[in-house]
Amino acid sequence: MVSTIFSDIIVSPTDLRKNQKYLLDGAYDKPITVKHGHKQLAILRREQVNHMIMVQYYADLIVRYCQEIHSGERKSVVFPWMDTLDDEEREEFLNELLVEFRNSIERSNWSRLAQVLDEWKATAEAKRNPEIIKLLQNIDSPREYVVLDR
Amino acid sequence: MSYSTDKGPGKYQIKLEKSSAERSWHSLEEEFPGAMAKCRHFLEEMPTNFLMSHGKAKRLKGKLKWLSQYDVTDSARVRY
Repeated sequence: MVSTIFSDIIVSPTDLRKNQKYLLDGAYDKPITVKHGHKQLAILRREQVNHMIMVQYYADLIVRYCQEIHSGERKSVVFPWMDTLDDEEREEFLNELLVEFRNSIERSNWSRLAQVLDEWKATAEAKRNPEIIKLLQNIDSPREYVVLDR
Repeated sequence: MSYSTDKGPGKYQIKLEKSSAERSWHSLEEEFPGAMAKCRHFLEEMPTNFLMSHGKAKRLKGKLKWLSQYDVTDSARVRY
């Protein structure tokens, strides 16, 4: 199977100077590579660059986390805050991380993935709070509330 | 720490768990009056509209999925 992952138009600096408007307009649809001796410089949409950087950043994070899981390491270096999560929560976290990573790639929108990480980090932090632990242990106990004054 | 449900003069009425949460709420109000005023406004008007909190409010996960959290400052939290 042959698939094209990256396709561009290769030009020289002279071509770029002569047809600047035409080539730069075209770069919105298809990247341009300016070849100058052995050096190659790509011109492409800023959003595409941002997307590529985000894919690389999160893929690296997720792969390193999966390697930690595979090696049986419970203390995570990638997500050092997660030590208070139990096994079930860790599984839920990994599933959600993978689903949202896939969704982010498809939608080119990374805000939900960042939000999911933030929510899990807040959860792990909350589980460090003794009052929350007490609350979890006595979840069905009746509690008394007072209305906050206006 | 706090609990928000019944409809009051705002859209929601804030109820604090007696003693501990009540004390903590008032000490946070003294320490961070501006940030707590924003927190109170959010909880009374739109406690489930996380998008409107600009990242300050979030739903917790796992065993705590019944809780939400509002980040008052970098270190102060209100859970509801």
